[in-house]
Amino acid sequence: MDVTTENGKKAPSRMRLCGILFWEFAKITTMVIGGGYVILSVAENEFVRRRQWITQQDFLDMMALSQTVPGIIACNGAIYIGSRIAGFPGALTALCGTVVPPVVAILLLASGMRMLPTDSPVIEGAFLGVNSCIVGMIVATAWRLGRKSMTGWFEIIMAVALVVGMVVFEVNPGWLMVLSIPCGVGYVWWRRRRLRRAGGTC
Amino acid sequence: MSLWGLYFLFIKYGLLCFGGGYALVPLLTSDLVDTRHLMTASEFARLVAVAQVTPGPVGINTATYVGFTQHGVLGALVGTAGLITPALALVLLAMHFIARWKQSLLVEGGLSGLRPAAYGLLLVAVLVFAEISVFTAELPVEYVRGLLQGTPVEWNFYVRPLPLAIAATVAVVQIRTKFPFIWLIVISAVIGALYGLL
Repeated sequence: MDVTTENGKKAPSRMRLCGILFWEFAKITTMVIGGGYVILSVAENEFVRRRQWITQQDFLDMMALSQTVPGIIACNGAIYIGSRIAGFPGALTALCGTVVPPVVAILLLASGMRMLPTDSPVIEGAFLGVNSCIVGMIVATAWRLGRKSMTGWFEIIMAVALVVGMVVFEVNPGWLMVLSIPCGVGYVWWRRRRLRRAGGTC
Repeated sequence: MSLWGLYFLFIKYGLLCFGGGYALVPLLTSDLVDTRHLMTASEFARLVAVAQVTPGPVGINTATYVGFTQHGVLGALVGTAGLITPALALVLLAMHFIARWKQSLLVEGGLSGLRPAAYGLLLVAVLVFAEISVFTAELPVEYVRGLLQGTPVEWNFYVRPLPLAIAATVAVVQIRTKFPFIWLIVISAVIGALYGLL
């Protein structure tokens, strides 16, 4: 997992790791308008693909966890990734990186700089461009993660059921995540029992 | 309200916000507006609109603004800190338990259920962003529902060519190359702005 040490490069110090974490998450949170999932998707590109600090499997665990534990999804994700890469200081710096830019932005806006003429066609067009770009980025993330993880009937049924539950029946995603836990426990129980039986007869 | 009160109030919100920042909006409406009368409904609606077009997670933006209206800059910091305190404790605890009982039926099973569900949420995020860019409206769920109930609604679901081209290009570039995402966002914003100008 620790790729930085493998290819002959010296492993960066924890200080430096924290610095990178703060800067990367600050960059991600500033450039990305619209919340959690986008930030996770961009983080996948940065930390799983480009830097290879986190495995795809671990990233999926992170997504699962950050959407189940109460709290802001982007912050939960930052805590998980930061802690994996540089322990508790990493979790703190990644979290600060995610939080500081929006806090500064809101404070500037709230202190009277009420610009943002959202009715201008140029601004509207820019938002349209950014949102289209975000669609492409999440599709790329979904493609990469899906090739590795959406391999069995159980995974596909679960993912489809969640999409249908949210889009068609408009169920709160928090409830769907909680519901998926007993489904997974049942599935793994069944799979283990089958494995045991197969092992017993051979 | 005192600063401590503000801190604990937002710790409560941090604990109650299941499913991310958007879950915070109805929670805050009922609590801040209806119960505590800390802000008016229209003030809150304006805040949510600003939070959605400002960089960063919507929940953080909301907490910062509410804190600011109560206690100025200090209040903004305290409110935001309160919102993220429970997450810090809970995520680290959960990571610890997962690492410790990785082989147990409950942890392995729970994670094998949560992973594909989280993947499904990622697909929903594609739809949510496509509905405000590539598509002209939400998925025609209402249209189908209308047909089934015999009360047809108008068909308003079309695909916009330019956003579709941007999204497809970005997806291919992200899968094939390691081009930095920031430049993709900047270039897409410029193309969109030029398109809006014409």
